[in-house]
Amino acid sequence: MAICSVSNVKIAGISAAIPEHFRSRVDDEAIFGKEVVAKIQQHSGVLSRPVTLSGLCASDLCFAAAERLLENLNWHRESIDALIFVTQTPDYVLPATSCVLQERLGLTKRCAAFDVNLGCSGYVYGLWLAGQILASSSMGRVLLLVGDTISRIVSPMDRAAAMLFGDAGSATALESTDDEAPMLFELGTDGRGRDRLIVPAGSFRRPHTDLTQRRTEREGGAMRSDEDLFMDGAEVFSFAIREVASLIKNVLSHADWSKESLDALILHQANEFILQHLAKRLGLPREKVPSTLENYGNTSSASIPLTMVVSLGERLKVSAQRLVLAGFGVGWSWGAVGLSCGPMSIEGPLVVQDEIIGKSEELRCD
Amino acid sequence: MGRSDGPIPLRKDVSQVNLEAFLQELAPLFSIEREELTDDFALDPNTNWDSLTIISMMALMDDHFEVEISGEQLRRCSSIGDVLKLLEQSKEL
Repeated sequence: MAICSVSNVKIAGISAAIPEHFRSRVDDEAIFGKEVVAKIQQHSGVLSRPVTLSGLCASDLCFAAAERLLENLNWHRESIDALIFVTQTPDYVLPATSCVLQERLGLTKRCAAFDVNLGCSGYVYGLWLAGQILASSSMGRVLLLVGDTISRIVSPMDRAAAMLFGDAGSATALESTDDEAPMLFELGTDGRGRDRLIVPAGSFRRPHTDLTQRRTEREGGAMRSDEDLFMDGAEVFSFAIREVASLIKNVLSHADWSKESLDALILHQANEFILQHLAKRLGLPREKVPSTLENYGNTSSASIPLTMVVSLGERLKVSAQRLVLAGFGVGWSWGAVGLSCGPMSIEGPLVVQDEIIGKSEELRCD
Repeated sequence: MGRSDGPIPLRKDVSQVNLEAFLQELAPLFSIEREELTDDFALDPNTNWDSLTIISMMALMDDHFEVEISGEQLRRCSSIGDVLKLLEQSKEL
């Protein structure tokens, strides 16, 4: 898509939440051995990542983040006009998890709510949708909830994926204003990459059977079923270097921003090798391309807001920052936005206890 | 087995200077010295030819030649000579 501009929309605040438990080197070495773990870690940059152990959902993490954000902003529930939930790990096949969240958060019946099924590019798409809704209607406030629990769809015996992904949720509050500088978006899609990052079975194209859930040995000795996430790391890298550098250059040039004037480029936290390569390609010093991979891993759709909270939280709390955010991956789907934001309410990551929220929601549903 | 007189020279815009810099950085991926990286150097699991090495090689190709070669194409290579042929073809396009 050509560059698209959204004016008079402001990010009022962001919060993020993670499950309380972390998986780390010690856990991985027990499965893969020291040598393999060291090699993978050197490439991925991931030393530990938060993972749910007892079936916490992305919606639980986003719920916790949203509760705290609404409290911090002192926004009344009835003032929220729309709720967007971006995830690839919803609570149910149907209904949309955004309906569940509308009720849990105590939003009014006049609140529009819908889900968006996107991963790595999902946060940028969510901002674009929220911005369009606010810019083109009388609506005043949108709550954008973005998160995933990819650890729950990864085989623990697939080294390419098992040591990379973490779980996280986020909440972003957006509202109409009179005088906010435009956000500049560029979005794109190439469905030829659909089978390079995929859970092939368990939905409607290839429904669940005993066979689809059986883990068997695959390429490189990975043990995986067709209901586990498959990732072709080489093709992900190839896609990233093909599309992402030019995507970011386009946004910078349309905004008429020099790379020196940029405060930070927040990339989807795919892995350290990709971040490093893109920073070099774009001629940006690493301190302007923050990474949260070491402690949080790749948290899919939540990785951009989580990195804003962790790496830029202190700055965004007190000052305006000129940022480019870029999400890219599963689909292939990608998007980047250039925006100035802050000061804002920013907090996190909050730690969500596995048992408490997971069980209470289960009980409520029964 | 065949030649050990170093990699085949590439034509056109793949300059020897770029090629040499590329090979210098490529050798450590296989834990060998530059001199050992001849065009008949075999690419197989015994020489550390796995997906991480493929990705690292793609990054070096992007750095030195600004060409994009897919993982699939590289996976089909069985020697460094095959890789250099791919590089040459991609530059001719």
